[in-house]
Amino acid sequence: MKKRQASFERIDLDAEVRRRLENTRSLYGDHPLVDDLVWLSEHYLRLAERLRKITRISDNLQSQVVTANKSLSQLAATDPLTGLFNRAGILQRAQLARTRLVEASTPFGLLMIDLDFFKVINDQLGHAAGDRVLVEVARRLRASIRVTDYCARWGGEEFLVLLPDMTSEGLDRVADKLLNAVSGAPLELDDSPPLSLACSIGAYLGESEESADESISKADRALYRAKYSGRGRVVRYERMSEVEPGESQGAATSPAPPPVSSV
Amino acid sequence: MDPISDYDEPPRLEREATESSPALWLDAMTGTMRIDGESYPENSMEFYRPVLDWMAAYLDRGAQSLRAELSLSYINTGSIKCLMDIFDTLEDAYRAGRRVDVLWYYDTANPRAREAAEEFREDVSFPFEIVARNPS
Repeated sequence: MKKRQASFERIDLDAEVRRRLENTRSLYGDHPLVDDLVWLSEHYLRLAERLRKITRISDNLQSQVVTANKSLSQLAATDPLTGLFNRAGILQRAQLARTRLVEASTPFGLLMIDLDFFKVINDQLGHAAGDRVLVEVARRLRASIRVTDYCARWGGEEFLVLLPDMTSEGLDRVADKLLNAVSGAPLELDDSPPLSLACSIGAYLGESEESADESISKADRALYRAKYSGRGRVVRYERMSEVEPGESQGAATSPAPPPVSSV
Repeated sequence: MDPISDYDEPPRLEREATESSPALWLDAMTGTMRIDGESYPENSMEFYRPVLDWMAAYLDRGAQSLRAELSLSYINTGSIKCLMDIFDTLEDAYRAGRRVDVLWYYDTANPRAREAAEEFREDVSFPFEIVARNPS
């Protein structure tokens, strides 16, 4: 059996605890069970201290796991090149925004944006230049929307913008604004002449009862109409029938000049 | 080191790592115990019981030295408690005059594992070295 003597070697009990044990001893010093009481108290305090420590270590390790999880889910929702949401990221956001919108019963805007002649840029200037273009377009888009809006890189050179709490007129305005922002100042590149950018936009004012897939596919169809009716324009899904789809199908329509003049 | 030749039971306790439990490699011949991996088994007490039993049996036979090499990245609460029991056993052995030391390896990308080691080290008097190791 262990010696029933209070010892403070292993655990640094604070001064108050020491004082309490000394106090116990001085109060009950002549009691036959005082040694047991001191022994028991000390072991109790040791145990309590150990429990605190286990909790502290555990919480500390746990917080690391939580931080790692957060940065993982952020990573999983982000497009690494542009820093925008990726497809999964904005879909998650879209669902969130829509839940809120159903309650508020306000429509939301969707803009599907595709860069015009991006393949030509990639082919003629290389992928590094293509990447610079994507980063710049992402920057211009983000700078032109509200902080409450969401912007994602939907695919290669395709972007999706989600505008909660939108009106029909507001959506037209934002779409024009983004069209002009993308085709604004030519982009300065290191080893080639300034590059003019342009895009086509499909716009749709979403309704609260619709699935995200359905809404996005409507914006997508409007985008294709914008592409095939000459590019560099906005087409609203709701007014798609007013837009000439172009005489023949596909890219043969309106052969706009390639964006790169030299090289 | 003091090899134990007349060890009745197998002098070695070996276990493969699983997703939630570390690999065990406890060798009485060299007086070394290695625990390596992540530790969040469903029942920590059950998982670590053989380790504590092995230590008790090893020390009971009069072994004069024991080295523990630990490399644990995530440790759940139950495993923390079990590690404290392991350190208690080592501390008792050390106080009884045996040679005891601990090497705690941690990944530099995982600073919390280092902090945990520092917490454990506070409570012991035997040599306890915390060694940084880069993720491979």
